[in-house]
Amino acid sequence: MQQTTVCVCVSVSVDTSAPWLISSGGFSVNLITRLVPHSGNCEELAQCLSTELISSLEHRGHWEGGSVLGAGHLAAEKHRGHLEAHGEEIQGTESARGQEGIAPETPVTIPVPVLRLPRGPDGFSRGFAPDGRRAPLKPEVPQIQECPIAQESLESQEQRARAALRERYLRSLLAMVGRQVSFTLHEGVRVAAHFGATDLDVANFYVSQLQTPIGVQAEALLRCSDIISYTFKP
Amino acid sequence: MAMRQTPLTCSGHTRPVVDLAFSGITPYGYFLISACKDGKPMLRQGDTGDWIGTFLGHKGAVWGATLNKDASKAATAAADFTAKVWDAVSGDELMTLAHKHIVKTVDFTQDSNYLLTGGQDKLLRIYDLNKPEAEPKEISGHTSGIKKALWCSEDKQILSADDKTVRLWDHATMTEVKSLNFNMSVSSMEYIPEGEILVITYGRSIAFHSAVSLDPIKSFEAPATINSASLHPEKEFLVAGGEDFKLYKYDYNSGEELESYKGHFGPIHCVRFSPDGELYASGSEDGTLRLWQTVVGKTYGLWKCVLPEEDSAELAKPKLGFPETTEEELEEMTSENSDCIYSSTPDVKA
Repeated sequence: MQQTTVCVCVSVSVDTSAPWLISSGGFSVNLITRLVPHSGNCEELAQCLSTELISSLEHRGHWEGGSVLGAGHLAAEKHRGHLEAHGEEIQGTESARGQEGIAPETPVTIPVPVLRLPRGPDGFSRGFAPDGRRAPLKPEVPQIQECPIAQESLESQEQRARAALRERYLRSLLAMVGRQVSFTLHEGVRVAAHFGATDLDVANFYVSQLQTPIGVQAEALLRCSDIISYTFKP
Repeated sequence: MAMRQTPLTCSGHTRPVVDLAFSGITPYGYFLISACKDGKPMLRQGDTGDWIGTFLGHKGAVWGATLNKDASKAATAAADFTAKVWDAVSGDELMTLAHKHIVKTVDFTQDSNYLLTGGQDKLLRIYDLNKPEAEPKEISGHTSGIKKALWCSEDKQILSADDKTVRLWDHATMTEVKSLNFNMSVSSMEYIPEGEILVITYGRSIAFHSAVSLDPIKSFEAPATINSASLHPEKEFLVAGGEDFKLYKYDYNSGEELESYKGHFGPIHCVRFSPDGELYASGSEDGTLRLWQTVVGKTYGLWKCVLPEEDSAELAKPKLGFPETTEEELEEMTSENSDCIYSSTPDVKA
């Protein structure tokens, strides 16, 4: 019986290196290119990667004791926040006989889909946007008292007018859905497209079949700041 | 087909997240504040995790953070020997309260008129927020640094935890009413007003006591040292996280472990349920906050339920700029037609 083990060198870069290597040859191997952020525990990092490695190997013939042997160099860069490994349970490294790879132990499940990831800091300001969701709350400055009742009704009239205009605008957006809209962009550029939707702050317009000077784009996002005006026929 | 939990990772902090707190439910939803050793606590939208702003001003690690009920004010406790009160709408600093040592914990009363602080100087202080220049009232008695201090029983009493004891104080008389001793370090404490329940974690234990009498109700043992636990508002589940980087979810009534999740890359320091119980947030040594669904697969916040027959069509389509369907629950959304008009209440934006 041929004893075989597999040799792989993974190169990712770390601060404390934990040498390990699976050695020998004669097999086709997929190199792991995934970077994993770690908490300083290199052993766990090494184990995580070895699990990934074993499950992605293709091999012919037998192999005994698919255990990871020592030796070699592993280096992983400490990238925060952007890179994710699966973080699944470390699978056993029992020996595998025959042609099959090691079957995953977790049952087949689909991850819950998400619309998008949470937005992070913008990197250049401290936030608390003046036009954010809670802005209307702010003008209620507790110290200043609104004395005359007339002034109050003027304010509430203004608020009502704003609300009515806003509602009209939102209804106009709804009426546009699915229709052919013609956008006028900067520098006299005009493009036509089928309107899909805008986002909450009307910062982006989601359109499809965008007719651009260089061809038709199936799906696109137009930035509101790029749009000067748009028209459509209801 | 079974659904697997997809945690939402909120990045932005550069050092470990040591404390987090939710506000109450406000007309604008609910909010989340996170305390971080990088000295920059952040305010986030509670149901989506979207960053709203960062409170700038502390000169040391922030150990405790809290929001008042309507999320109009925030308070933070830091290693720069100060506690600060902030305007949570504009992000401006409202007051700085000087202490004689590291401040670890802050808590508002229900009416936001008083702030309770506690820290390494072993004193509990009560500040009247309407009179910031006035000297705070002090309660002494702890023999080691205070880790957590909370108002309870409708702000008539105070609960405080130091390394090995949890003490109950009467607000009016400023005297100790009762105390509990532990032989292991107390890692966290949570107070649930409805039902007057106190959740205490120490070692691998998660213990529930009456907040009025401090009598034990029940306790569970976890597989690893637990740093923080939280009880669901409807008292059906509890979640706990600790040194093994995993989050555990238990049935409160039976103590049965329901789910456990790996995902964090460091020990979990704090876990809290949202005020509506639909999600829970965890903060970790790895510098991230993660939001987890209580009911996996439900459409809520950024999570979008997909019915089995929609599978291939749904997952293949790229999710571009679809309007968020946050507040309301979309009951059984069977058609995902892009022409479908979404029914969300229009926000009033000035």
